[in-house]
Amino acid sequence: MADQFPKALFDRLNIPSIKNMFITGHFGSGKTEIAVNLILQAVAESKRQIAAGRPDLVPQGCMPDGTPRKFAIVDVDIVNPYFRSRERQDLFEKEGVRLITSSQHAKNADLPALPGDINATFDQDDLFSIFDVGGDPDGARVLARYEENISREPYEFYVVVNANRPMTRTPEAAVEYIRAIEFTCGLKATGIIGNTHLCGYTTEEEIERGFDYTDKISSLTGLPVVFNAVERRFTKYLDREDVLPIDLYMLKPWEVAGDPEFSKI
Amino acid sequence: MAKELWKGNEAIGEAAVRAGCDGYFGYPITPQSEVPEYMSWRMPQVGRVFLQSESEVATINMLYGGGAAGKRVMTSSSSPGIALMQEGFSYMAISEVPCVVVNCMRGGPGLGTIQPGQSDYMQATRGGGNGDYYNVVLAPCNMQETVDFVQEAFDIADQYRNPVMVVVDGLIGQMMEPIEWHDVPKRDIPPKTWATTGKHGRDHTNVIQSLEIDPESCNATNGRLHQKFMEMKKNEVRFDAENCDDAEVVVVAYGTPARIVMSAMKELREEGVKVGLFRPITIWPYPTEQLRKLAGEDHVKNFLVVEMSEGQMVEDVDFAVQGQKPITFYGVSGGAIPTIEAIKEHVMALLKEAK
Repeated sequence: MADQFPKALFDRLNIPSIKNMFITGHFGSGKTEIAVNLILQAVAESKRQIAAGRPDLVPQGCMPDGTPRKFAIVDVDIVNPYFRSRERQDLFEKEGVRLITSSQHAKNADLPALPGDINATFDQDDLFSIFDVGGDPDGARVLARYEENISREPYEFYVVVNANRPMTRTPEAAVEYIRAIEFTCGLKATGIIGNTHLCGYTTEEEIERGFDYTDKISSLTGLPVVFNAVERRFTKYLDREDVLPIDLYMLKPWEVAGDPEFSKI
Repeated sequence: MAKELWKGNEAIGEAAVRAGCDGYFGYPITPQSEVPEYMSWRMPQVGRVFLQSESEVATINMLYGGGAAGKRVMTSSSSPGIALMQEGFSYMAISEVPCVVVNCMRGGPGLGTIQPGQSDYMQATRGGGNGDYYNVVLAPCNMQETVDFVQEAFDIADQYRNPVMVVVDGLIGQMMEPIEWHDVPKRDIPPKTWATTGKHGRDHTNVIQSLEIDPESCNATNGRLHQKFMEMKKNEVRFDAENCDDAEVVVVAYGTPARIVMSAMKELREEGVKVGLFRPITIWPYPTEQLRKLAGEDHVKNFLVVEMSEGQMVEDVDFAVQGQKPITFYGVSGGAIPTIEAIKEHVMALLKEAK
């Protein structure tokens, strides 16, 4: 189970016509880390199912005619200058994931510009794309530009929530953010992703508090919890069907993958 | 208090609010724009002033006015913006008007890059504007120190009636890290009887200005201010020395590079390598005496200076060490960041050289 998509996410994506997923949330809720993990795991999931001879079971694994899907990560974060998914271009290239982002030829610029090839995500039927959207309603405003294209087809629109961010400490405050993001981009959220953590200081108590927090947001909004993201080192929770084990790809320069002690330095 | 996950620039704003900042004036520039954005939301909540100025030159002069009126004032900017403010720093220093300025440094010169840098070291530690003056410059290396120092900076500024700068690099401004809000040391600040707030029963109003047209008078003012700067130098030096008691190679670094050195040092110490970190926490005043003393220790064979510049602080290290031990420099600039691996390689090469 640990290496499969959480059940709710699998079920939600098991509709071949869904080809775009939007990851939004409050500033610093961890959207980029989630988006990067999701696209890499989607590719792995697809390969696994095709190898097992059951591509029909794959969420977005194959087209109905059996043609394998292509994958893209769409970095439309125009509000953050650092820690953007485009920084992991090397990883995407290695895994065959297409990176669609503004200023590919000036990836360190903070231009509020959107690339023309975003249109591929709406026009190209065999492309499954995960959009890493900038934080807050301000970041989500980008999607309003494409509201017409997006709402023409079924889509998944998730809001990442973290109980340790001061502005979304309570479920009620998080709900306000979800509503503000929906209002700004004109699209409805379809699920919640829990990501309550404290970087290297995360404890089991924090994670469990996060489970309760996302459940409360779910009951306040009626939106399903598609999963709770949990760092892979917390093995105790990885078998839960509502957990997506994640690896940390957006490391700070003094951090070392897999060792939280370096985060506390 | 429980830990909370804050973005650096938001936390800088919140720290200022908690320190009693009465007025924030600022102009957007990457990578610090979240500070004015946060303050535009937060300051009205607590009934205080947020004002987006038309330029950095206007900003620093708003600080000059607000500070002269006895209010706690602050701005933040990034390298090119701070460069534009230098005239105001100089005016405030001679007029003895306190303020707090955060420089979220990026790579330069010129417009340079929006990625992190430390190439404003000389500008920050040598006054920066015209004339004989200094600012106390605090250089935190993580988010907790950043929020603590921003709060303390207001007291230091008021105590000496002088601008105080907190320098971070863009990475600290942009990253997310857990912090705790706790009490920071408070200083005994005398009432601001010098502020331009009216007569209050006296026979005169206070006048604050920087024109000292008579050379003798200007010389006397400079002399008096110099005494004050020497007091700051005596009282405000801060540094951290980790694993320096037996270190053969001492790495000198501040801010983000110091933190990367800590990771390199952790790995090297696990391999039995005797490496230490000397980290200036104030870059003015510089911990010259402390570093000089360390250089005299027999176990120290080499110094390695790591900066996100082409070599600026290394001049202060050179002055402190006074030729007692060799100094090697490893620097990257223009938005590049030193790596753990490269630091380890430099340390190992120096150890090999010493044997």
